[in-house]
Amino acid sequence: MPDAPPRLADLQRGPRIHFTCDGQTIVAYGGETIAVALLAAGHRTLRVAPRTGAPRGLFCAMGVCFDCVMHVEGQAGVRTCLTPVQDGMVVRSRTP
Amino acid sequence: MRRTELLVVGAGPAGLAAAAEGARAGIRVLVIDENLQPGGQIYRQTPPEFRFVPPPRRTDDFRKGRALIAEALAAGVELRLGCTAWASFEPGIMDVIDAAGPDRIHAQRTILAIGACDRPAPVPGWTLPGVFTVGGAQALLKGQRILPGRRVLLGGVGPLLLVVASQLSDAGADVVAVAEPAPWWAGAAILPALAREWPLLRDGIRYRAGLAWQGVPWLSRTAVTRIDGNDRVTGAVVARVDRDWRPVAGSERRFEVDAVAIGYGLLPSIDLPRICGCALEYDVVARAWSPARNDVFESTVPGVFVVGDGAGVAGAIVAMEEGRIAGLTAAQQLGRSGGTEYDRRVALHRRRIAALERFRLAVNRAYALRSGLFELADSRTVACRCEEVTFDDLEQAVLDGADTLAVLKSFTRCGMGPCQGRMCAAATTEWLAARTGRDPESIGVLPAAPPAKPVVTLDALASSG
Repeated sequence: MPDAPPRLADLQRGPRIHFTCDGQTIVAYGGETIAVALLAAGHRTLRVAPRTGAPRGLFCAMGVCFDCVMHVEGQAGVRTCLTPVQDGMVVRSRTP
Repeated sequence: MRRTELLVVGAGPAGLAAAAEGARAGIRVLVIDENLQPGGQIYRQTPPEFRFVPPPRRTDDFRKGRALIAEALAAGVELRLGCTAWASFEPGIMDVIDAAGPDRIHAQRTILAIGACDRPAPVPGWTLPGVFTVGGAQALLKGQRILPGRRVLLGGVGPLLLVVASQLSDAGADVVAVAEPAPWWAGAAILPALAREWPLLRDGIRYRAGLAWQGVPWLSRTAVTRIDGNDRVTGAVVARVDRDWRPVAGSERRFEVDAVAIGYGLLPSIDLPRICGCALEYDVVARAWSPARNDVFESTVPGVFVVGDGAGVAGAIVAMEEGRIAGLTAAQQLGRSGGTEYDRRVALHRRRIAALERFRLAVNRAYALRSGLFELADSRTVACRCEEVTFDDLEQAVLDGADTLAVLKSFTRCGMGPCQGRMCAAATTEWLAARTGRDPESIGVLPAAPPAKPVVTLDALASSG
């Protein structure tokens, strides 16, 4: 996605890996959090708010606000700003 | 159940310094932190999978953090990372959870060093993806080496705003402007308090000069008043503000951006101290609650200390000095450190804290928040992000008689969601105080109840037996 914010090139990241978000394959690098891998892929919306359906994304990026919570490997309410991405991980924006 | 002599919650500057002192004095110290790397916010480290190719510029905080982590480990401190403290149902026992499941840590002394979080101000559009807190934007940059966006607008006040604007611009973000409702001389008013603090003074001047050199507009007496977009940020509006920070009609300017960072200073994280039963006090200048402490930073709960920004925002240097005093004192109370050496060390660290107290007061005075800031939201703006409570909902609750934060919560669910009020309580307090013509202190705090962070699943608790 052309308008995604860039990863800085001043360091070497971990190995290239893949995971899926709502069925779509996303490229990530070892050491990245789920939310950051999605941001770098141009996915700013991580979930929709339950009442109004408003889109929500990363906000505090430090585990305080819980706006970035997603369904990760079968578990709901996971803070994707703190959770490192792993190869083959299955991430969903809503609980199936 | 785990047993230790000293439990430190938080592996930032305050926690690591406290732990190092305790361990060197000969007590068993366990430090827990919910991040996977120690360092906290200011000394945030990159994950072990990341390797710096050339050492990047301005990595002072990274290096200082690494040195402090090394000091704590060399002293014999045990670090348990990815571990969240969520409750304390009995004095001296902390309920925690990590990847292995829930656990209870029994400690003779506890030092809470959990830091602070950003104070956002709600404006229309502030829940859109692409809006970050100022500290959040910095966390992405420091810990993950990614920009929050390509074209970024920053809005807020205080030292962190300056630091983050400068770091983002240096890293290659197109920082379209920094909007700060304080007057242009607010930053200059702090300088005399830094007369004997050359490194801090030098950094501040460097950051401002760097931004000017890069052509980043610094808009004083200006606030971010609205953020636009459908499913993500596409633009934001700033307006000139008057002395009370109320927007001046006709002064609006719009910027096309893909990210906005907002932060009006920092708020001590009081969730865990409150769950531990620590009494709070209100600082009228900082407009914030923090745990009440004695002169060795012990809270109103015997054996529980609170240090660092989580006890009143004063920065990393003060945080470490407070941590050292608390660590030494915990060891002294357990019969290890003591005598004249203890007195000498405590006096030494106290002098350093006293010297920096001028800086803290100058910052709080120069960036004292004004009432117009809390009127920028409109009736449909979300006040409580978790429960999607709007200012219209709050208004209805006030008409129904809500006059404290606790009652407002019970009427509207404001502050009841997973963030436990960390993102909304301060702004809602200011709004309710203005709306009811009372002072913020009398609005009170949200009722404290575990979990401090809803990371505990019933399944996990059940399986732990």
